[in-house]
Amino acid sequence: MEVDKGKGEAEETRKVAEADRDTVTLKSSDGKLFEVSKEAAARLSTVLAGMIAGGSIDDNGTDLKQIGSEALENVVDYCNKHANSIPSAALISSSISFNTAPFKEPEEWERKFVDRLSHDALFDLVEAANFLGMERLLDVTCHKISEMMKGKSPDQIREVFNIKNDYTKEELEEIRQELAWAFYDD
Amino acid sequence: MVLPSCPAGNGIVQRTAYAKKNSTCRGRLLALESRELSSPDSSSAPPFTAKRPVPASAANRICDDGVCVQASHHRQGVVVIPFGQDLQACNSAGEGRKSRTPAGNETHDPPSQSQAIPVDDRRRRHLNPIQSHCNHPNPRWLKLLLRPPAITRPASMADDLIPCLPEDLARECLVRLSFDQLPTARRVSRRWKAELESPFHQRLRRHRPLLALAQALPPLASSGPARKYAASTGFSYRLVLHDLAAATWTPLPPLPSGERGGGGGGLPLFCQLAAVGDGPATKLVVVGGWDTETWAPTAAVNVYDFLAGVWRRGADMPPPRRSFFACAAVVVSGAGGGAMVFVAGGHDEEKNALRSAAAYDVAADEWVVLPDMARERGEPRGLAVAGDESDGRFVVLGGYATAAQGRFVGSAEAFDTATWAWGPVTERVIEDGVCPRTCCVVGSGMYMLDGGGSFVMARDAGDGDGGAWRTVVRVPEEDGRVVVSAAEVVAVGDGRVAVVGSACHGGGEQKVYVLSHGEGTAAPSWTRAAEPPEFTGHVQAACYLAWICFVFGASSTRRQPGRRQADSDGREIATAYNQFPEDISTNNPERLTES
Repeated sequence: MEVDKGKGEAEETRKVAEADRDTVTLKSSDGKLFEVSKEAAARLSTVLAGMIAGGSIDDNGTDLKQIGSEALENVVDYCNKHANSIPSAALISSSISFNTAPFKEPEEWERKFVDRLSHDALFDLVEAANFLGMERLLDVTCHKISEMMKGKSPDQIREVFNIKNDYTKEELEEIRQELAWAFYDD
Repeated sequence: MVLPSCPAGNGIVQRTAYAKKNSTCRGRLLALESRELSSPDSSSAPPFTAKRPVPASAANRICDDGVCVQASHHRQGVVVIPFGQDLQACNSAGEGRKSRTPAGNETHDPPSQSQAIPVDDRRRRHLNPIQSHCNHPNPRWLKLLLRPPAITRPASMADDLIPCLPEDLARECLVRLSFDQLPTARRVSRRWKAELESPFHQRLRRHRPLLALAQALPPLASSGPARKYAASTGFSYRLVLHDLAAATWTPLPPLPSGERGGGGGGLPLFCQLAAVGDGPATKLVVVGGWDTETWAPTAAVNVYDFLAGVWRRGADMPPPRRSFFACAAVVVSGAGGGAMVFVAGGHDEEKNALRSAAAYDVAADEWVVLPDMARERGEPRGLAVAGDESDGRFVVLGGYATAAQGRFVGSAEAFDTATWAWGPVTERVIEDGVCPRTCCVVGSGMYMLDGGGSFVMARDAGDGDGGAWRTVVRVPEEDGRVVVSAAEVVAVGDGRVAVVGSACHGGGEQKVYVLSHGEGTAAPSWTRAAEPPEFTGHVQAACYLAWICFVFGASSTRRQPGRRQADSDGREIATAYNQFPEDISTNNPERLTES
């Protein structure tokens, strides 16, 4: 990090003080700054935890050029909400060891959190969560996407996710034959 | 280490997923912009030249997967330069020159090249892109339309599992589909079908205990004291899948009616259930039972295919038409799906106890007649015991001879699928006079309810000699009454035992209790899943499905991929049955502990 030498000792003191502060500042690709609790960030994101531990956190805003401001806002929002909700033992252990991670459905607030997101925001958040190594958030968001497929016909799924139907007529017919006994239909 | 950075350019963002055990980071994206798609043979030079130094801040890390580099000049520039050889990386560089396997999106270097090139070079070579992916901020669809034609590859859209979502993340979403969504999802596109059917996808899934229950439909569930035969008063049964972890209950589609030669259709009464196979490839087999209208024993076999979501009629059980026979899915090397469904004993239409036995190969849709058992066994219990090798044993326990109607014996005999012969009769495996129907095998031991149905008993030595039964725990009680009389007892595969039954003989609400008991557990404890009212009907048969499925709370790609690597191998399946993580029971709403 470039330290402005001209500001002298006051700056130095401020910097020392900031090293001990309990938030980290993150900077989105479009330059917006977000503050997030250091504890929550380290607990929820393996990448941020590594950066905090490795000292590569920039007090003036750690550049996260892969993440747009909208997605980062959601990430930070999620972290802060998480910091406020009492973290259950299950959540903590799931970020430590996947082997002992108990079965855990999304909690109510997590459901609401992803439910309010638009399609694009949700996809961006998935990518952001993946980039930041946020297991739990990735779980919650991917779960939401899979839930968006629930109860939909293949056509509806294609429409929602903009997937091209690349089956030929013959193949569709073949699958229909396979489903001769089925009780589902398009 | 000097790492090549991505050239900034108007290329296409390429990504690949690479999951590896114990990875410490999730940054598995290979997001590269490539201006010139280099030839796979140019191994001497990195396909990308470093135009600027890799930023030293942020996410430069070395993880198990490789080196993660934050390439800061575009939004999604995370680069993982993978280590190792088993990479799903690729050489399909040129326009339209994709070399995807039909089963998925994994492509590999030609083996000769892989072997010839030093690891360092190979690493660089893996920077070659494999999948195109749209890279643009919101709004995605608009950007997509506005993309210059030079970098648009229309075919790539169809190739994406979910457009605008990287492949590995799309897979993370698909892996979370539940079994009842599979048939629909398979019809969305070719890619989805291939993905769902690929062994790779199935490996991402994880064991999740499911119980298949033949359960009475709700409106009639509470009638009549004569529960065992209450079905005759017009009870209608259906198959229900109960997910023990999520406490969800899902009915399966009904059996096709009228296919049984003028019979009543629907699920036969007193049918037996067995599950063969694995994950989405699981087949649930419904064997025999009584026709719902005529009450005549049926030889019918129906197979439910979870992937297609359909019932198929299987080959009929060989004669005689038996009822109340032993039935179990036993691991057999070489059989389709790794296991066969064995039936033995029971009685014919004249109530003669039978010695005959047969085995059904689900994939081949063929019955094989087995040698006869040593004894006649009416109403025996069929148990599957994992063998030392891939071949399991089919244990037929208890039952009675024709002359001794209803007077059960405690002996057992086992069919060894390795030698394809019945072993000697073992006497007094259970107490004489006790009906064996609640008996189940857990690991190397057995569990059952005692004669009065109020205690769970265990025996360490399986069906062999010398094992003594001991009392493990009292069956749960509510208001002083034993909760699960006339219960079905099913081993859940992870060492736990599910007990399904109701508080009163009159056909009260059925409850599913799960007993956690093992060396690691201090005290045997019961957990109970709350069941919605429509799933409280009488349960007539139950079977355990080794369903591998996503468990919420731990990301799929970080699980031990080695666990299920030989899916088609019976041995792997057999051992995997005993390897369930003991992590499921903590969140169930009720937990009773024996004090």
